[in-house]
Amino acid sequence: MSLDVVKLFKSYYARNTVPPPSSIERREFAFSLFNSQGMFRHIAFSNGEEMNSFLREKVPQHAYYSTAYYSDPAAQDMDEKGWLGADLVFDIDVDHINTPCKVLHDTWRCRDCGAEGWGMVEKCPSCGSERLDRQTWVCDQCISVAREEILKLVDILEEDFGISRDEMYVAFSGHRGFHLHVENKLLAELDQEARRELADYVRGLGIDPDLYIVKARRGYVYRFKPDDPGWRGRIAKLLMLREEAGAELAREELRRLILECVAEARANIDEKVTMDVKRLIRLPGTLHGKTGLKVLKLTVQQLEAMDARSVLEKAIALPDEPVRVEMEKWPKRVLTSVFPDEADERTLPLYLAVYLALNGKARILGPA
Amino acid sequence: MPEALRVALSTDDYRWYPFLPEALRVVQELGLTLEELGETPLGLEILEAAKSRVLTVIESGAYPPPSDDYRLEVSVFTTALLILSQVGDRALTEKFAVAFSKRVFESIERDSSKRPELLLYLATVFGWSFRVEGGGVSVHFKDYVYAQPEFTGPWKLVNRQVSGGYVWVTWREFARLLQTGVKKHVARLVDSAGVDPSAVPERLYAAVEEVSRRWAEARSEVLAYARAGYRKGDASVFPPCIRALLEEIQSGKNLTHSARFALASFLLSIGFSVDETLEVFKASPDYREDLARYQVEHIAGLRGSRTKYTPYKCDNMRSLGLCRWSCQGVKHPLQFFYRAVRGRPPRVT
Repeated sequence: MSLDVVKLFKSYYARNTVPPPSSIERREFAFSLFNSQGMFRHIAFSNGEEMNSFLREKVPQHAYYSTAYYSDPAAQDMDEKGWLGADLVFDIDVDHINTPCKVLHDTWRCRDCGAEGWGMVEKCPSCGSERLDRQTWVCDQCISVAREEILKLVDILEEDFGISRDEMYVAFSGHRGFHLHVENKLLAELDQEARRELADYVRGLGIDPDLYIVKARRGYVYRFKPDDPGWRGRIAKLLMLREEAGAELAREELRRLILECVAEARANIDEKVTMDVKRLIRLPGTLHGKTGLKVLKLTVQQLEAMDARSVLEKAIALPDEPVRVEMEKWPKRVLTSVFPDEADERTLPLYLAVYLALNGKARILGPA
Repeated sequence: MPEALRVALSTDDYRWYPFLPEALRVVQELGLTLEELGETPLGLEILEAAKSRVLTVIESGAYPPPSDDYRLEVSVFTTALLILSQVGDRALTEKFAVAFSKRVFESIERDSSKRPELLLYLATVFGWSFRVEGGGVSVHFKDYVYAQPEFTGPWKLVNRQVSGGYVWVTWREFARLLQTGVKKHVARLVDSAGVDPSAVPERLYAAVEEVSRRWAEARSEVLAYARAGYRKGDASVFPPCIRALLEEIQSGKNLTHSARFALASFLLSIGFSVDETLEVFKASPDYREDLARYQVEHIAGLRGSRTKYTPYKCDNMRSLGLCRWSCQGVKHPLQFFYRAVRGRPPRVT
């Protein structure tokens, strides 16, 4: 049996209705299609039905919409689109985060010296080359880390910026992380500079520890109390958990401790996404063409109530009929499954087989 | 936002804060029309003063202190904005707005201790959300990041007290935020001061041309850009009329007298030296160094009447058969150049 992904995607879109994004008529859409190079951009829809008939007819491999609002979203030239504003968007992607599970599923191979191994490496540990072929997978532990980051982010946005969770929604990207969308009229007009400042804020970037400490008798102490607002209190709370921070400290020592607390409390976002006021981002409800998982829209409350495993389970959109799968290098952990033993061939649910085939070199042999 | 923000404005305030809606109403009450700017003695006085304000900013980077007559001051200010909007160069507008906001800051600082309500009123005019508390002012973060003077150290948002969407600042810091607010407000006023170019009277246009020329002289980096573009054969910063002339001359055609004048005066205006301009003309089959030098130096204002000639405006180019295009919002080839250099080339049809 050869894998007919298009057919699976087609049947998904035939059976499901994708909810339109807010102000759909002001958004630009973009799609990449199976068996076709490049991105089809500058597409606009006036309502959800139009968008869904497009999805059913074209069956895209990837579907995106603009975080920006335009007066003429279908205009070919970006200058002629008439930018009206953009949602504030944050992206958390475990691709950038060294999660502890990576040694269980990610592999690399050096193109220069041929060395290979498990886990996440920046460059080849034996020859130093940066030309690496990587095979990365996602598992519930990765998603759990990403979920934690999102919840830290939500806390900062709520507490410090006074943004209500009613104005936010979370989307599991269908692959390695989450997007957090803020739809607020006043914030929509923020320019790139302002968005960079907000991105720096949630990342704790640019904190000057000298502004947070004060000279005491024999050394330095932290200036603020745990109930102080913003980063001041956030750092204070974490410092309380550290025994060494109780006493007066040398300046360098206290500075280092503060920065450690910042590293712990910061939300590890990809700042490029937040800064971009004309970003295309995955359309919730559609399928991710590299995983076959659904881009899953959640409220903050829903995400809080779910663990990573249930997020992944809810994102499963393709059938679970058992199929036989063959692959050379199996990850030990992938999505919600664990493969502790070596094997050439396994019987797996179809959705998992599709993920392994789309994202790696698995071959689906046929029904079990 | 305070429920009832009351501030008593005097005509003296209009001198220092001529951008306030109340002050701008003064100009409306005067009933001074665009046509009168170029005709009546009062109009001419205002126009001259406005031009000289902009030129002072170009030359010294500082905005002069306000005059004693508040009516004159407000009229001069709004006319300066009109000139800037016609020149259409964002960098000049920015320079003007910075200089102006520094001047206003003197007054804001004076008022910050005596009349803090005036500062709050300025913030209201800019549309900011804020509340007075804890011996300072809490400003909504969106307005704070909009007006933040620096993005490091104590001004960096991450180093501030941020709570429930508000950033707490001292009155002194509030005054500094307002300075940026003034700067951006003025830039916005220039953007919205758009007037149909066909309604601009001749005298006002002469002022626009003079400002454009002086600004061009002052901008060596723009010149460097243009020179580099010319050398690399990338003439995209030049308007289509000038580009066409460059192509003709490079392909070895002889240009008419008016075409030569248009090209030479354009290149000299954006800062090419006489020798650089001559380089361009050397490709001409009938090039004669002595004659050409004489002509170019004449256009450059080094000979004869000693007037430096500004390039033809678009209307004249059209009449002379040198323009077959329509560049959106452009009345003068130099305008095209400045916008293109700033990355906003006008649409050509």
